[in-house]
Amino acid sequence: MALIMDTIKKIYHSIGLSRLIISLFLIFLFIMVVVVGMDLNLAISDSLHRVGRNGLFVLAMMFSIACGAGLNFGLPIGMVCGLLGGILSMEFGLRGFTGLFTAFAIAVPLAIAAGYLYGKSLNKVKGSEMMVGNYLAFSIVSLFSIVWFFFPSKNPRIVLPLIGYGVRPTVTIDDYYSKVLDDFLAIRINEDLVIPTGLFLLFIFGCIWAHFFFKTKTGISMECCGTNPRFAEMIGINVDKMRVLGTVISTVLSAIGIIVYAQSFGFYQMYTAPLMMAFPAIAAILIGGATPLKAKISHVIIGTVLFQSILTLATPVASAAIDAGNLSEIFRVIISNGIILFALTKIRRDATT
Amino acid sequence: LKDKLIDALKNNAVTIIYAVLCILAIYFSGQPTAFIVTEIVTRLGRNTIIILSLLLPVLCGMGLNFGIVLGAMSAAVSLIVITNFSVEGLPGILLCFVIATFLSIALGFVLGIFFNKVKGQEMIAGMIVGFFASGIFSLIFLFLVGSIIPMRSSEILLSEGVGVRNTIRLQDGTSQVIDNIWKMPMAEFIKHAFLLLLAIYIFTCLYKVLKSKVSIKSAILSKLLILVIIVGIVFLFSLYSESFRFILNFTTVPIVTFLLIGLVALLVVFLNKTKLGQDIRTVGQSMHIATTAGINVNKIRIISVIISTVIASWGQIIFIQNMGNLNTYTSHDNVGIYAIAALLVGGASISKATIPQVFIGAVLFHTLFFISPMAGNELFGDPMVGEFFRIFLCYLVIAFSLAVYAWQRIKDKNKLSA
Repeated sequence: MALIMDTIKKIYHSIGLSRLIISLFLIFLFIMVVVVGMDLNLAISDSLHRVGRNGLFVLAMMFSIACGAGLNFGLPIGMVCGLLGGILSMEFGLRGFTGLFTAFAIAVPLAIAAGYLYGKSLNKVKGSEMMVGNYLAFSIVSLFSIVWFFFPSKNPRIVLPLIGYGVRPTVTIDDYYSKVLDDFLAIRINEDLVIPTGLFLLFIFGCIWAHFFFKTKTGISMECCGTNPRFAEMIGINVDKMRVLGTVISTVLSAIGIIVYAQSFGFYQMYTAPLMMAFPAIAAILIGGATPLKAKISHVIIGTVLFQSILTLATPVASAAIDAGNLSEIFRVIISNGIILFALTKIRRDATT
Repeated sequence: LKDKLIDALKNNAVTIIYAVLCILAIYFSGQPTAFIVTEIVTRLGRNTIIILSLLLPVLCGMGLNFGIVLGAMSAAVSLIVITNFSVEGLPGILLCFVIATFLSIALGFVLGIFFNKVKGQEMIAGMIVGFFASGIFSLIFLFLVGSIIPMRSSEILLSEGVGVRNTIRLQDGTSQVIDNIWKMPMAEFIKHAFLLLLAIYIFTCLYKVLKSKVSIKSAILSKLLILVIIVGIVFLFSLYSESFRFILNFTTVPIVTFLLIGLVALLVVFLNKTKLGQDIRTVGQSMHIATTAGINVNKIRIISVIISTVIASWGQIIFIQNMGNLNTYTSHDNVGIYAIAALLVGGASISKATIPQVFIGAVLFHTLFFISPMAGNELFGDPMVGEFFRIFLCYLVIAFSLAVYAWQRIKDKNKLSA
């Protein structure tokens, strides 16, 4: 008997409280979907798409945690670079994969530069990265609202109607490169259930690359900076440099992430849309089992799948229960912020032990 | 002296830049002075109390309390309650104050306990608490009200009978009820204010000299003197300049609202002078020293959060009764950010804030806030530019102050260890 209790305890500890609650909630939702009589195919297909769209943001979060800069509330900085790349590639009239890769090609150097400056500033404010990063990102997003407003676009698909310049709040990608990644080698199981292979290939490629990156010397030193910066300093690792590198990778991934997200979604959402987009990614990696001080690739994958599936399933279940429009949005706010709050209470405990 | 001047400029850079921007924006907006004065007075009246609510947590070393959003929500809840039971007018608002006070004491208590669990991360925690609570608030008022929680008035519910409307108009008797108790043209108000301040000043001078036997010189040269002189100059100017008096009389001052602001400010000053205030400042300086001095650090921190939340809820009631309608789901969202930015614009930092900074910040921040869309409209033909610009500045000020504070702290730490 004691042995069984012991193993249960062990399993419980390896899963962790937040992961356990979220998993149970997800199972509950799945049962509800069946009970309510919803179309499971559609729900699964939707979940898969959401996982593929959001995966890169969560991967970006992991690099920021791994290098010791903590939860990256500055993710929108990279997204702004991505938006700029995406809009410019549409402005040039490029279509299909050419359009998508041009968007990447423009966004990545911008994100490297922005990430470098951002990482440098985070080094100056150690201990307050989350707060400073958050408000720095907020101010950059709102500064770019002004930039979008004056953006001298000639493309009628982008430009604000009547005014003649500026970018629309929602830019439809349509035949430029909407869904090129989703449809790449896509597997149609039936009418409703489609696996967006290209989307997953990119995410999996990112994860595999990250896996091998953390096996290299640089990767190991970076991980060391995150888990024990004082020890890293002692054995001669340049901690500040590693933090900048981690932040740069994080920013680049979020820049690519927003383009991938947009091509799957079909729209670029401009202006204040990126403002709150760091929060779902933060929540996802924390649900996956990461702490603000430690994150692994398994956390990224588990977290993204759990979090996005819940969001997908919550909507039909909730709207069957009560007549509700944006209940899933409210769920997202409550779950993601609740998880972040829970993680914040654990920072100190981790720091003291 | 030159070094001192440069230092002063450096330390107040945010305030000075904001003042310059205000002047430029006012100039480019092309609005009449009378309009600007009216707007400033209105905005000062409805926003100052919320900013005052930030002071105690700053002194207690918890940084800027982003959690005052909870106070604003208590105010929203109590306003929905009185509108639901159609308690109108002054009794309605008084009931509102009572409900909001109890609610925000409870919420502040919970927030305080939570802050004690995340010591050193209070600001980010407060911000996330705000988002989280906003989600809970929406859940309750969009889906539970009307379906599980019965409502009396169908007017505030959405057409399906479930959920509260996006905008709730206060009843005619409740809208601006505090502002309307006693109004006065501004020129007259300045005259009375000047005489009152002068009387208080002379009284305190005499009191100091007679009672505590400080030298006459130090009694005369107090901070109050500066205020008396400024108000005096405005008063004299209004006596001699016909056009200035005309501009001032264009504006009416809601006396009771400003008296309430004064009372809350006095309350904060008073609390600061008591044993509690002393404890709060000790905790703010060092939790370690406070513990060894036998202060219950956690308790003091909870108390200061509770007071902060309560004051914020009062401030939000004043704000909403002035606006006349409540944006149910969004009115509380930006309360914390705007109040904090205003305080920082006034020259406060994460660890230091004073009452004068509250007033300077309120005037500068809210002046630029209403004038920048107008200036944007004149300069670029579109008010949106100004709106983007003011939000950008608001976030930038917060980011800048946080960064400077964190940077300074690291430098001090390095100096200590070196």
